[in-house]
Amino acid sequence: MTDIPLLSLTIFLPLLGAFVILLIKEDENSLNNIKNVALWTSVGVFLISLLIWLQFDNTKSGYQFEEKFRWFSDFNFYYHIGIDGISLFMVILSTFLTPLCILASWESIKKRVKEYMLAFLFLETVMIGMFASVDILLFYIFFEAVLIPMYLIIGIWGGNRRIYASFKFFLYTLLGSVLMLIAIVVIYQLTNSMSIEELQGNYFNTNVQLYLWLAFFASFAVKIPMWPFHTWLPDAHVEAPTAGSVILAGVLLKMGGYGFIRFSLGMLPEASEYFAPMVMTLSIIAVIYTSLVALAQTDIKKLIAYSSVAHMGLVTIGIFVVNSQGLEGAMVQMISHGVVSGALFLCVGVIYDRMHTRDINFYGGLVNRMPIYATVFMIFMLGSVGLPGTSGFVGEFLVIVGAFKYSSIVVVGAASGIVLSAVYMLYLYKRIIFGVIENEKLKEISDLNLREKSILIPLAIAVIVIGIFPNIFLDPMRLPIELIISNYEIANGK
Amino acid sequence: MTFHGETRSDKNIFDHAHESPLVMTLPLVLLAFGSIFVGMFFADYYIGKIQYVFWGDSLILHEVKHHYLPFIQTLIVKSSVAIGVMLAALIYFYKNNLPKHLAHNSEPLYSISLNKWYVDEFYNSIFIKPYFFLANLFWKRGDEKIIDEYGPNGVSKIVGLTSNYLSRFQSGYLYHYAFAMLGGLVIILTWFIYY
Repeated sequence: MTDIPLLSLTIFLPLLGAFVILLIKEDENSLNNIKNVALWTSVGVFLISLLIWLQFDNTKSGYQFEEKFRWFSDFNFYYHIGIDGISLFMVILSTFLTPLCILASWESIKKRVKEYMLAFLFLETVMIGMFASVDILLFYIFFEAVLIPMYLIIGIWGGNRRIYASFKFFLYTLLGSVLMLIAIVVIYQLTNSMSIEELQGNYFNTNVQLYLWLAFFASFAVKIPMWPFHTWLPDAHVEAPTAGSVILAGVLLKMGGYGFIRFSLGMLPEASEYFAPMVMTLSIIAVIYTSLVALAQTDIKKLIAYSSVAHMGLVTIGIFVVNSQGLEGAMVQMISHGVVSGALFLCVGVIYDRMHTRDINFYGGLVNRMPIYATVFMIFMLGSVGLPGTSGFVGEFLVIVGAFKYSSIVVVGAASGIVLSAVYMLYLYKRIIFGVIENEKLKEISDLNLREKSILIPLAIAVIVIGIFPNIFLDPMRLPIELIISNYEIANGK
Repeated sequence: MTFHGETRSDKNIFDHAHESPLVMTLPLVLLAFGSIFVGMFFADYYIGKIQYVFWGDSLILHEVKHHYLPFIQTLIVKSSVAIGVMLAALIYFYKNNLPKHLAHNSEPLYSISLNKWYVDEFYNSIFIKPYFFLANLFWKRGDEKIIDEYGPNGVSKIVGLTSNYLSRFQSGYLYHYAFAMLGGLVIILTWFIYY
């Protein structure tokens, strides 16, 4: 391993890019410079994260690329970062989606371009920092800091009801996070340690665990989001600009799932066992309920937002069955959902940029004018449905296999969700892509240009690569997941 | 109906009809060949001598109990096919207005057949309509009326109302504040005196 602090570099390079942008004066001529700095910084970060993946050692279950510095002299707070197989792909997902988002905003963002790019680069820093934190306090700081740029992105560059949506998003998630902060304070009081690594296992007595678990649950359940805490998501998605939706669906929702694996399962195994039936119930309700609601939507983005809630319901099922198939399935489902739903939002963005509406009834027959668009959209649509050969299938299949070991009732719920997802996605695709063009305004719509192709085609490739070679993603996460499962089983006397 | 008799389509469309190109003809010929002769080549694999190779252990086969259908049954099958062909020829080929009369005279049967036994309509009413009803119910009632109304919007409404109510105490009149201070003083003094 090299001496270069690669992980810190990934975290702080976007911030450096943001600093450079800050120094550029925004006017007509420098707009392209600003965009280019943002784009190439994020591409560079992506390449460094790939380098981390290349050097990653699949045979270790603990943290790698660790960096640890004492932060406060009197307290046990450290700047302690590192990644294991669970956080590796979350980091790569963030670095993969950010350049695509910046590219997607190239022409659609017209006002305050400089601030927009600043917000995005800052967002990238805090996202990566959150997934790479080993210190709980550091985790919390990054976790909260994600809200700031996202709040601004929705509230400034969003649609008509952006103020309502951004406030709802901010207050909802903040409410959960405050409870998490209290839990963190309690943890420090009890253990005098803030290290996620040290606290893995069964350190707290059962009673304390239950309260801590509920406090963490409040934060992560809002974030992921679980029914009935999901109503901020459709609003935020509808009002956010395309790239905002992509990051929201692609990375921010995964913070909830990541938190469940790290904190709920890793630190509070007895409480997780105790509350698992409740999580299962909420997840099954979420899967069926939101799949039904998705069908009735007339706004494309809202439909995809509801489908996200359903897919994350499968993730929570996979996490709380706590066996290797379920957890691996949940992880792959999160990666897959990050790519697929991000791509679906980008697809909506493509036609929104042209027609400035997201009403499903406005469209129809797009295949006649936009064959390439119809093809990539179909790949993502099938990925979302979970067709074998796409990324969605691997995750859903593993989750269902894992759920079988837990309870067959849960399997019925999860499987019906998959059928329902086929209903609403195919229905959506049929309504906007197939048929003849009846709307006069659509007669002149143009197919993907080079910029849009270079955004969507890498995502389409990713969908198929994850679907066909899931092992390159499963191998690094296998040992960390086994570690969590064995801790969990020891704690619960299994 | 498709091939024989007088054309019922437009003159224009009829003139444009042509034989399919080779790309389509060749597979069609292969499929036609297969549909007639496939039984001769593959019968052995499934029901003949080497069926054990194909089925393996997945089916239990009783070779001894193999028996053939009685002659009369095979005759009925074959002759009903032949009668069907002749009947169709009679109805559609020679008597042009016979189908109309037939359809008219056996009205309910004809409608059921025309509408594919009403299976689509049946599915529509028992699956699709309730599905959309539920979807709208969950969306409009569940999400917007119940979860949002009592959840985030309700909470923010309560906060708004409460602060609105509390802000009335800030009347700006000096004697209101003086009165509040006096009241506070009385309470504190009472506390100290009695405890």
